[in-house]
Amino acid sequence: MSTKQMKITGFGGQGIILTGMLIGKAASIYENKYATLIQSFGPEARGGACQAQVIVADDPILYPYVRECDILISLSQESYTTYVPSLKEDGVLIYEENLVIPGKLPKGVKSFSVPSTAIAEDLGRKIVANIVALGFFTAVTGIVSPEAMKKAVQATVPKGTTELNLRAFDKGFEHHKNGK
Amino acid sequence: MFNEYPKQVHLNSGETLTIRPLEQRDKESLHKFFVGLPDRDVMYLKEDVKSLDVIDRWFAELNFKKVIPIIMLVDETIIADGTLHVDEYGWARHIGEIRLVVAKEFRRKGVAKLLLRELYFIAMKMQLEKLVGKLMTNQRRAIEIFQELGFKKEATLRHHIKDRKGHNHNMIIMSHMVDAHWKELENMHLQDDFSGDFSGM
Repeated sequence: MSTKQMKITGFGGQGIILTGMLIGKAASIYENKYATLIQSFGPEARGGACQAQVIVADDPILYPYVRECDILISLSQESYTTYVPSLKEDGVLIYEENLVIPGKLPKGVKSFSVPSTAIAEDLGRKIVANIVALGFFTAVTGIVSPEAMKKAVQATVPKGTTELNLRAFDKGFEHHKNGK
Repeated sequence: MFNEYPKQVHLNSGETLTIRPLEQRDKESLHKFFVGLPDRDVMYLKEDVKSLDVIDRWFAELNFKKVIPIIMLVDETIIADGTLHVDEYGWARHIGEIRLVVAKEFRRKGVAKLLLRELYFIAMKMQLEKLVGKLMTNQRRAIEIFQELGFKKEATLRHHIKDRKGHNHNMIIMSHMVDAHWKELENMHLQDDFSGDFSGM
């Protein structure tokens, strides 16, 4: 991996920005890489679709905005519709399988789905669905190690929610590793 | 709720443990576990757990709606027992009380934390709003373990425990206000996703 450009998208309140922050934090603080995070400030952020743009690289990043999206994480239909055109050919799509129905994808795109909300509900807290998706993303892409990601989760989420967030991460990670 | 059991966990010391709910076939093993506890440990327990009559009664009254017993085993030997006590009805139906006992030779290996975490996960699935643990002031490591999972000291009841030698001890009630912690995360999501202010992360 030299540089990976990604967008994490969903609706406001799903923890989209936190998810982006965790990827960047894991890469930059715990794996000695470089990372940038930009939140969508444009009019597209109003009314539902929310996005975080994250770049992770081995070398310093000179421009923090995503120009060609290598990886798109989509946790809502509206965000999928809004941002899938930015996914480049041969990119990776990760989507919430009960909330997103994907349409025609750019050529060569590999898509992976995870029922992150259902898994989170099964754990007892729907709010950790983004962390389930983060675990799944980690297993699918291998951009950052699960250990670094878990350290970032541990250092960021409120005390008292850490253990369930880590479990949510493991569930998402295992979901891909178990080939589900 | 229990379809993920039995499951295995690995200690840093290299041992592999099995975690699962207590079953009727565990009566003898559980009795053996309690008999093996040092007298100092059982001195503070509410019941005479070394008595087979007590164990018999527990198994006869096993009701997962009131008490959820989770055990940890090495091979077929029980090395830790934890319970989550809930009231089906009444004013305390939103509260779960957690109790733990770990065999002496498995202490300071992370077993208590693993077991506490397991009971916490079950409590989350049950949508309990508050969890409590009752400890003595001198159980410092146990207090730390509860604190690591977000429990805080809520009250100290002075001279609340009388051990079998007749000495009084203070009891600490530690509690975990489940909803308050999750509300904090929810607010974090809302603030970050809508205002873009993630400077505090």
